[in-house]
Amino acid sequence: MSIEVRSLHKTFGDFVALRDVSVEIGSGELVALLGPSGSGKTTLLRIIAGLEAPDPHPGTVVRVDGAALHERSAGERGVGFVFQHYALFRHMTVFDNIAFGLTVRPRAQRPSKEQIRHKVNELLQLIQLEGLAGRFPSQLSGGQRQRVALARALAIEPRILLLDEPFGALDAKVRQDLRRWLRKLHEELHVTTVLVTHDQEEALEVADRIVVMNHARVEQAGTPEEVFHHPASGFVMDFLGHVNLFHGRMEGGQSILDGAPGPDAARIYVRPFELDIHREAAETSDGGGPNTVKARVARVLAAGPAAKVELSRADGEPILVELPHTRLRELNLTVGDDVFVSLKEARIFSEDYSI
Amino acid sequence: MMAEPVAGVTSTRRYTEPPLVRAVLLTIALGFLLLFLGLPLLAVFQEAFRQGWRVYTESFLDPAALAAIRLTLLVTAIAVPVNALFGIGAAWLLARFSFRGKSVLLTLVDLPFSISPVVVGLMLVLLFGSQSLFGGWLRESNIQVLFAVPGIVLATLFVTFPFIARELIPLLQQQGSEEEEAAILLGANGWQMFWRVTLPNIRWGLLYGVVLSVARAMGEFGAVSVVSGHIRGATNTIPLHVEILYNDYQFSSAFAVASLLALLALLSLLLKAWLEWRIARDQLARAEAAGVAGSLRATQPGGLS
Repeated sequence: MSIEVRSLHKTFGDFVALRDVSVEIGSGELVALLGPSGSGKTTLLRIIAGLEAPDPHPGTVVRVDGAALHERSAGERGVGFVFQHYALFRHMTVFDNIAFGLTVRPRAQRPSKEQIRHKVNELLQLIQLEGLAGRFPSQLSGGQRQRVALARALAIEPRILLLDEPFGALDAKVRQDLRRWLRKLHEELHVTTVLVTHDQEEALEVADRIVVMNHARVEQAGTPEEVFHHPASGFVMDFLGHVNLFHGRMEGGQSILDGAPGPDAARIYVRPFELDIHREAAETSDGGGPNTVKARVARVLAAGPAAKVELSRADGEPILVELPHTRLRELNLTVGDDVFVSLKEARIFSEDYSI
Repeated sequence: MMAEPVAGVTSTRRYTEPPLVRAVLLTIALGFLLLFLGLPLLAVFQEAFRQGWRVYTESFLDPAALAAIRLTLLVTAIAVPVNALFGIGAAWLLARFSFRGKSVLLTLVDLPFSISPVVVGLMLVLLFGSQSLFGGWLRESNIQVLFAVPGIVLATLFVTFPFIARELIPLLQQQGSEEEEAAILLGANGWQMFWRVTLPNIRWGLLYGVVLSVARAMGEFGAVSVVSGHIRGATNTIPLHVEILYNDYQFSSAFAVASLLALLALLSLLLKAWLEWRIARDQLARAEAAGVAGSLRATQPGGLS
């Protein structure tokens, strides 16, 4: 059940939430709308759900499964929506919450009580909360509540599933578990899913495709690999993980990190793991050439999947380098050491983007 | 840096108030309550029973008294449900939608709080009296509004209008619309959403407003007095009946009937306290259910990411 959005505009008073946004989501895809708060991603999701109306604009198209929004009522659209703060019906038990979408159907389409019970039990099994059917939302943990919200949305067998920052209010460990569980669930059910998040790690891990949004616009749409390794703009690069910013210029396809201002000045973005540290300038990849920067070790963080070294350049600019633990041990760095940082790879954006 | 020790001093001082000061303050507060609330209430019952149980019970068996009680119940039974209906409607409109003139409407809802009830009665006289805008038409259609039950109902409706709407507006705003949106997206129609999601969430607040409305509807004097015409056995409500008895020097009967109103007031007070406790408990459960961030977010208009 594909979703097609073209030339979408939305304003709230003076605030522009969406400006000429176009997105296409294929059937069975899991797409993440990623962006900072205020970038318009939740508004886009709410418009797809039919909870918000787009501004009247010539050329605006919002089609879900080939049908324009106004052609079907919210209930007929078959949209499963999961809210960031669960929005569970707090005076109903877990069972009644999940069964709600089935019990409100017109009598002719309503499954029998027995069928409803069967369906709810199936879903309870799916979310691994079999024993908690009689509990009220206030008696559940945040992660359990969010799973109930998901089961409630799945009960109506939606054609598309829309998730608004579903794990935003949960703590890190639960978030990670639910994230993996959601991916697994998606592989089983193959419901077209749109996930709104401001957590780049979540988007990279879960989504088939990522739509990066900023300031009411789409910055880039692509697979996680594409947006991570081939970001279309400095913003995308910056938003998808820590970057080191060098001022330099391009000369014959070669970057030069001398920071000299000039007509060919460029911003050079380098991810922490694309840098290396050496004790001697001669050991660097270009033998102490233009892509080597002298810096002093400010902090060494040896915990975590990769070791992190914070350095500061002569001009005070910080540099973050990620190294394998074995490499760190080889270097045997201590705070205050003077070392050479060299470039393994870099991406250059001309001056069109400023932080 | 400076604020902390200062705050510490004031907060410890609150607990080290000399016992004498505490005792004096407490005595003043309790004495004031006793003098201005407790004693008058006691006096009502004392006066009511001054001539014994027999006079007390007979005061209620008097046909005029019975008619007054019946009329009061009738007016309350009409005014409160009507106001509940319109109160829910107005609260819904004001809490869920933004539109031009919303603040004007919000002020209008509060209007009955700020207008003297006597003025309300006079307004009705000006509207429905024989020399008024509708007077001629009403006379031709043979509809009696003033000095009859419709007038009394209208006056009561007016003075009790804000109680339910005012109670529900902040409640609906605080709860936000996410649960309702969830219901609609799950396929519920507006009616199902209202009965199964909205109403259960506001039921205690609604009941609270109803209790306040009932108390006010039964006790209203000024506005009703102007439009009632004081026809014994026909257009007298309990408060008006009390006034007539008092003016007739039947003090014991007056206070006996008045004690009925006082009892109703005490009953509403108890109900009110119980409902306040229920609402607080519900809100606590909600805050826990959504997390503090949830309830904060719910109060923000719009749903920008």
